[in-house]
Parts: sequence; C-alpha cells; structure tokens
Amino acid sequence: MKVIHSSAIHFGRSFTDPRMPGDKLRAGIKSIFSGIIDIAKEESADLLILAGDTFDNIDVSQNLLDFFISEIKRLDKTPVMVLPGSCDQYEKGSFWEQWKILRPAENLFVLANPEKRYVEIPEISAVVYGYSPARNDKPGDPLERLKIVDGSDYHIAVLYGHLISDPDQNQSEFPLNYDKLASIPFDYAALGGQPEFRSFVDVGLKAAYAGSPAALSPEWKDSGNILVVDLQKGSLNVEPRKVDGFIWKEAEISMETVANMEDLKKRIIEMAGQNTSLKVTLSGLALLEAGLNLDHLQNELEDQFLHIEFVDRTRVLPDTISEVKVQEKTILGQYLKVMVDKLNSASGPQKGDLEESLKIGYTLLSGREIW
Amino acid sequence: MQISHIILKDFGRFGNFSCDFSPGLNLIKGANEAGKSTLAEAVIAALLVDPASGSDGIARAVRWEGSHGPVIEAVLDVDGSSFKLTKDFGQGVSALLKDNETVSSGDAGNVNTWVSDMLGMPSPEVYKATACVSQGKISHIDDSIEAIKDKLESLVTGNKEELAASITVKKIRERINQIAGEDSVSGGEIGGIKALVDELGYNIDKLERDIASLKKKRADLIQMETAYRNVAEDLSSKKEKYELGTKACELEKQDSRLISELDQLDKRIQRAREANEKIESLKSQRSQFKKISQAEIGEIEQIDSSLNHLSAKCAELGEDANEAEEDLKNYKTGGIYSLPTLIGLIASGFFGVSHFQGFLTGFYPHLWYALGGSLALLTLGLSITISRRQHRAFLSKRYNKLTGKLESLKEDIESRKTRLSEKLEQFSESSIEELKKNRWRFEENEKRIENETAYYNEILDGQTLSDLQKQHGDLSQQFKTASGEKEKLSQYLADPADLERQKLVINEFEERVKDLERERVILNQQIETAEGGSELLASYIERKEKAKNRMETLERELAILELTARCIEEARHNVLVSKLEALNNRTSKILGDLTSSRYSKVRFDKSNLKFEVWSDDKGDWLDPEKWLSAGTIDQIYLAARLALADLVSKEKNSILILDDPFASYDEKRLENAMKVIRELSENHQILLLTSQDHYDKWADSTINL
Repeated sequence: MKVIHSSAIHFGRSFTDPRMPGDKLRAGIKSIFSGIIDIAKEESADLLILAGDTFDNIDVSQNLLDFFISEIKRLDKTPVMVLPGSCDQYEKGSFWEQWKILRPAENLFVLANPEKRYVEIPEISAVVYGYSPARNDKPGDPLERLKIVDGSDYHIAVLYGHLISDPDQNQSEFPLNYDKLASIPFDYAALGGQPEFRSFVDVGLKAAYAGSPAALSPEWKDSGNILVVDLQKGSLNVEPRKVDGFIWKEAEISMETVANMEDLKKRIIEMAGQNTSLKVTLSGLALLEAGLNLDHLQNELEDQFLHIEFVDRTRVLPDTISEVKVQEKTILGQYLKVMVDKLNSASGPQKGDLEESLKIGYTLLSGREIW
Repeated sequence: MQISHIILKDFGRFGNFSCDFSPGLNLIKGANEAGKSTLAEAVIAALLVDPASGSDGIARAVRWEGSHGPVIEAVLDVDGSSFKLTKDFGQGVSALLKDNETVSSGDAGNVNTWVSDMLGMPSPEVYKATACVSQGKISHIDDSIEAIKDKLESLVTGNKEELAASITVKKIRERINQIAGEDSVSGGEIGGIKALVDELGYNIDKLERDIASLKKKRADLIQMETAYRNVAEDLSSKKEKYELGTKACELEKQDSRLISELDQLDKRIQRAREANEKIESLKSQRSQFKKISQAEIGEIEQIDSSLNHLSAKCAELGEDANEAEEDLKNYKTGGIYSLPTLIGLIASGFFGVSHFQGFLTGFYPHLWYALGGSLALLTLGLSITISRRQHRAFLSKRYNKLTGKLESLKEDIESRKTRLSEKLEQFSESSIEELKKNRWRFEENEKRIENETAYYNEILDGQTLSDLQKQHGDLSQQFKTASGEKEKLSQYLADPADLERQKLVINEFEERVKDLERERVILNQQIETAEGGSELLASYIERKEKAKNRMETLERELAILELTARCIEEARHNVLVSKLEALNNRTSKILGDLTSSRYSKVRFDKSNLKFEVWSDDKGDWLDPEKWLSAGTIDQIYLAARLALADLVSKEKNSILILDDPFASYDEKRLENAMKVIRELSENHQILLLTSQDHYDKWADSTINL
C-alpha cells in the first residue's frame, strides 16, 4: 500500500514581511500542490493524506477551494484524507462543514467528525483515523479518543500537533503524547503541525512529520518534501521526496571584487531561478563609479527570480574617514569635507542618513546618473 | 579673445555684409534701424548660439525672403592664433578652423564648447547677462543668476571634472519633486503611493466585508443544506406515510371489493351449480318422453291435418254428390220443355205453307210475321230442349264425377287413417293429442334444458365452472394476501379527509423543498461567483504594506535628498564665499570710478547675488532698489555687470557689447563711464553701438552702418 503524506501546504498564506513576493508565492503553492497530485498519480498512490494546515485560514476564496477540489478530483477514486490544522482550524459554518455535508469530491474525506473519528476504506482494507478539534472545542490530545477498529488490514492515523514526551511539561495547544501514540498499534501515523520533515521510524515510532512541501520561509530549512510511505504488513518505509518548491538563497558580494555593473549583474544572474528568492548583501567600498542604483537593478533582475532583494552595506568612504583627502577648492572636495565633518560628529540613524546622502551627493557631483 | 572680421549672409536686414573689428573700443555707428542691434546679435550668435538648435536665439535674424538660413562667418583671434568660425543656421552646422585646419566641425555642440571656452562664457545667457549691456536693460540679470553662480563656482573649482553644483541640486530637486510632487495636487510618487494606500485600504475594507459576507453565506448554505435535507427527509417520510396510508386505503377498498367479488362469485358458482343440477335433472327426465322427431310429428300432424281436411272435404263432396244426384233427379228434359218446340214446329209448318200459298196468292204480309214467330218459337223450343239435355248430361257427369271423387277420397281417408294408426301405434300413443302432448312435454323439457343451459352459460359468462372455482381460489388468495398487507398497514390507515390533509401538508413541504432548493442554488451561485478571499486580502494587505514601506523609503530618501541638497549648498556656499570677495572688490572699484567715489563699496549676497551698497551718508549697507535713484542704480548694475564679465571671463577677456547704454547719462556720468570703458578696452575688445557722435573721441575704430 502506497501513501503520499503531505502537510502545511498553506494555501492562501499571507506574508507579513513586505519584501516577500506574496502573490508569486501563493501562485507557487498552487503549482506545488498540482505537483503533489501528479506524484500521487505517477506513484499510483492508494491514499493521499494532507495532515493539517492545508489552508492558511478558513476565509480563502471560493476560487481557491474550487482549484483544490478540481485537483483532488484528478485523483479519481484515490481517497484524499484532509485533516484541519491550527491555521485552518475546523469551524462550524466554514467550508470544512460545507464539504462534509455537500461532499464536493467523492474521494475527499474531511477528518473532523467528533462522533466517528475514523474513515473506513474497504477498497484498500484500511481505516484512517483522525480528528481535529473545532475552533471553540476544548483542546486536547486527539489520541485520547482514537481506538483501533477491527476488521481491516491497515490502520493509519492522521494527527496534528507537537509530539511531547512529558505531558506535564506541555505548553502546546495541540499536544500529541509520544507514549500514547507508541501504544496504539497504528501501521503509520501521518503527522502534521511542523513545517520541517522529521521521521521517527528509526527510533521505533511508526510516525513522521512531512513538513511543508512549499518551503515558505527561509527559516524552514528541512522543508520542500512530501513523504512517499510504502506500507506493507510488518514493514514501513518512509521516503522523503523533494518537490519543485521554493529555494531561498543568500549571497554577499563585495563591491571591491566587482569590476563593473555588468560584472555584478552577471554574478547575480548565475544564481537566478523562477522559484529562487535571493537576498544579496552588497558590502565593501561602494563602486560609485558604476552609478549603482539598486532600485533599477532590482527592477531589471526581478523577472529572473521568484524574488530578489538587495541589502546595501557598501561604504563610500574608507573605514577611516580621516584618510579622505579632499581638494577643498572643488565643489566635490568642499562637499566631501562637509560630509566628513558631519560624519565625524554623527552617530546612529543620523550617520546612516549621512552615509546614504554621501552616496547620492558623491555620485551626482561625480557626474554619474542615479535616476 | 577678439573678433577681427565678420561676414553675415541673409542675417536680419543684412543680405550680405562684412566688416572688420579692431582691438580696443570699436564704435559701430548708424541711424536708428541701420542694423546696429542686428550686428550685435550676429556677434553673440557667432560666439554662443548653436545652429543645431535651429533658429532659436536668432529669431529676429531670419529673413522672410531669404532662400537660405542665416550664415555667419567670423575670424577670431585668441592668444595670437586666428580661428575661422562658420555657423550655418540654415543647415544647422558649424565649423571652426585654425590655420585652415579643422578644429571642430559637424557637431555644432563641440564648436560651441570651443568658442564658449575661448570666450570664457558658459552660455549665451551668462554672456548677455554680463558682457552685453543694452540701454534700459542694464539691471536685467536676474534670469541668469544661477548660470552666473555656476560660472563663479567653476572659477573657483577650476572648471574641471565637476558638474556644477546647481545642476546637481537641480537634479536632486527634480527627484524630490518626483517623489513629493511639485505641488500639493500632483503629489509625486508619495502622492501616488498615498492614493494607492488609500485605494488598497478601501479595497481591504470592502474585501473584509466580502469575506465576512462569504463566510456568512457559507454558514447560510450549510444551514440551508441542513434545513433542506431535514425538510426533504421529512417530506420523504410524510410521502411514505401518505403513500402507505393511500395504499392501506386502497387495500381496504380492495378488501371490500374482493369480499364483494368473492361473494358474487360464490353466488354465481352456487347459481351455476344449481343451474347445472337443474339441467342434469331435466336431462334425466328426457327418458320419460318419446323422442319424436319434428319430421315425424310433422308427418303425423300432416296426416292428421289431411284427414281432417279430407274428412271435411269428403263430407262436402258427399253433400255435393247428394246434391248432384238430387239435381240430376230433379232435372227434367221433356214435357213442358218440348211444347214450344212442338208448337213452333207446327206453327212453322203451318205458316210456312201458308206463306208459300200467300206468296202465291198474295196474301202475303201477315204470313211473314206468323212464320217468323213460329220459327222463333221453334228455335226457342229447340234451344231449350237442347240446353236442358245438355245440362242434364252435365249434371249426370257431375254426379258421376263427384261420386268418383267421393269414393276416391274415402279411400284416401281410409289409407291415411291406417297410416295414422300405424304411427300412433309406433309411438304407443292412443291419439294424436297424446302424441302431441308427449311431444310438447318433451319439447318443454328440452326448452327448459335450453333455458337452464343458457342461464348456466350466462352465469358462467364464457367461463367454465372450474374457471370460476379457480377464480374463486385466486380471489380468496388475493383477499388473504391483501388482508395480510392491510393488517400490516393498519397503523397507516386513515380516512380520506386525513389523507387529503396529509396531501396538503406534502404539497406544502414540496413547495418548501423547492424554495429551499432555489435558495440553495442562489447561495451556491453567490458563493461560486464570490471573488474575494483571504488570499486576495493578503495580497491587498501585502501590497499596502509594501506601499507603506515604499513610502517610508521614499520619505527617508526625501530626507536624505534634502540633506544632500543642503550639504551641496553648504559646499557651494563655501566655494562662493571665496569668489564673492573678488567680485565685491571689482564691482566696488568700477562703481567708485563711475560715481566719482560717491559709492565705492558693494557686497553681493552669496545665495542670490543681490547686492547692497555702502552709504557713507547713512553709515549702512543699502538696498539700491529702495534707496538710490534710477540713474545711480543703472551705474551700480553697470559696475556689477562689468565686474562680473571681467571675473567670469577671467583671463579670457571676453568681448563686451554695449548697445548705447549711456544715452541718458549726463556729461559727467558719461565721462566717468567712458573712462571705465576705456580702461576695460585695454583687456577687452568692446563693441559700442550708438547713433551719436559723442563717443567718437574714445573709439579706436569706427564702423559706420
């Protein structure tokens, strides 16, 4: 029996950092999900599990829900088990309830039934257990009320939360008791609630976090996977598989090593990719002669990236300002003299402003164009 | 720098003009409209106007009738070298040759740069503002202050690699305007972003309402769906109950019908059985009756009838025979009936003879009558006798015939009687009445059998008794089944009124279901067509945050730009301070010469080049515009212009063009001014345009137009 296990897709996610390309990322999440469906079809999966946070919230648009359903329908009769998570927590009157009642896809099962916390799939002789508490329900360990139902070959749990070894130390709103999970003879527990992949199979617990397939943040280092779970009676193999998700790169370029603007562009383009987000930190003594305009550069290159961002840490003057030799008779010399005097007496944000000002004034007085 | 020769073609009033200039003070004399100003304009155009810019700057010089645009050729002497300058304003090209070798050509900008550099003037504006002085326009330098300041800066900085600070500041100001807007209406980039933020804020508010509405619609849909399902389930249950009730009623009716049918069938079978029994009974009675065929009875009846008929006929014939016998007996042929014949015969004989005699005798007429009568009587008598005889023969014959017939009939009757007796014996009946009675009874029995059979068949109605019995069995089974079902459905049994009420309730429920379906469809459509969602909201919020972020960046950029502009202005100020000292001194010197030392101290404001004059009388610096007479102001401005021209062109000693600036001066002022001019003419070539003669004594050469 082959199970595709994913979680934390976060359809419709919002990004608080204004530098993040929200629209591109949200469109990318949809492509990634289509990719997961493709994998499930290619692998002839018997079951697809989405263990929580499939949606970033329950106020997503009907278009997005329609897209999700249309993708689910591509799997024809392959059952898809969706467990609401903390972001898309089950709520009465939400699309979850709508789906439970209207069943928009024959193969879609929402694991949110407090009365019957399992779904039997006789076609594959399996029972899938799972329950996610509704928003205003009393929080608790979903394992507390999961009991094995006899009569099927495979027993698979879909759980959302944080595995905890000591319930007394629990601070999570969604705790999963490690010992309790180990005590229930599930053939596999598909875990959700963590953005990064983590398998417990090697330590004897038939459970794994799939993590997010989308790698929605540079902090989610071990994400961008789905799990292909090969389940046989008496054996379990969990294989993480990379999906074509987002790539977060950071690079620091010392302007002292850059010959000219073309050289800088070439070095940045070498890191380009439509799913790649690149943060370039420019350091060293500024290449003022190049007429560097980061806004222009960003506009010029952003089509070749998911997102590109520059952090300008260049200096226009040597570290020791006293070394600056100025010809006081010239305007530029007078200007540098004025600026050096001001910089010597400035500190904090004022100093930063003066440095920025110096870059502009120096560039313009040197006869270079900025705008 | 000096200009030694100039050729003008199609320039203003000059179709083809040339003249030579000498170093020092050149007096260009001519009456009004002689072309003095045109010549001055030509010199400026030769020195600083770019032909590539078309006729801009020499608009007055373009001749309407000229087939070609203006062309200026000039010979310039710079530091002992001679340059030939050609500017073709028709073609928009320039050329600068030195010793017949091209210094610069084609690109007029380059030629201008060369000439401008040789002249020591950055632009026509600066040149006009300093070295070109016209009567009544002496104080017109405001428009060129920035250019003059730039020039002064370049004087300090050596006019090397830097762009003028004013250009930099101008660029910064342009960028500031681009960001902040030139006025409160345009708003610049920040205004655009603010508008975008407002628009996004509006969109966010609207979308939040839409999302709340979508959420409510989803909840409504769920409620609707639940209500729909409940009502549909209720309807289904009610329909089922109604259908079962209807069925129970139908079963009840069917039960009654079956009972009735069974009852009727029972009766029918009973009647059929009775009829059958009766038929059998009647059939069994058949042996009591002799079976006499219709032919036989017909025959017997015929015999009987014929006997009756024949007996009657025999009696009648007997009577006829008796009557014929009587008639025959009574019918006489002689006697009386022969008397006429006899009389007639006698009379005829008599009268015949008599007649003969009378014929002979002549007695004649009476005899004819008597003979005739006698003959008639004889004929009558003969006729009667013959007739009676014949009739008697007839009667005799008739009698014989009747007698023969009677005998024959009697024989026939006897024969028939015998046959009748034989027949009666055959059926053992004593009489034909008995036989007929037997026959009637037989027929009666048969008729009854027939009637009973018809009745029986009518009861069976084309079926057999066993069919009816089978039917009865089937009906009984049906009845049993129906009774069983009826028993099961007894709880649903309702009276028609109750069923009608149920039907009404079902109709109401069906309407309710339809309403709910409609509402559900509408809600579904509304949800399906709802475009908003959290991801769009996120997009709006992110865009708003980005816009705000961008606005903050721009605001910081504004602050930095302002800071940069301030710092550059500070640097510029520092540069100007050193040069303004020289300008103050030079202007003060010239002003002292012009005013016979009445005003000998001038100072320029570094920011706007406005100047003030020191008044010994007042013991203070004065704003000339407020405190001094127009003539003195003219003198001050002249001093300032000449000082500026001197300083701006520096060692380049640019050509000064004075368009009769002293026309309104009194003799003393003119004297002072010309002294200054003369002094300047030692280093500068001066072109003084005038229509008067009082400059003649100061001139080095004169060109008369």
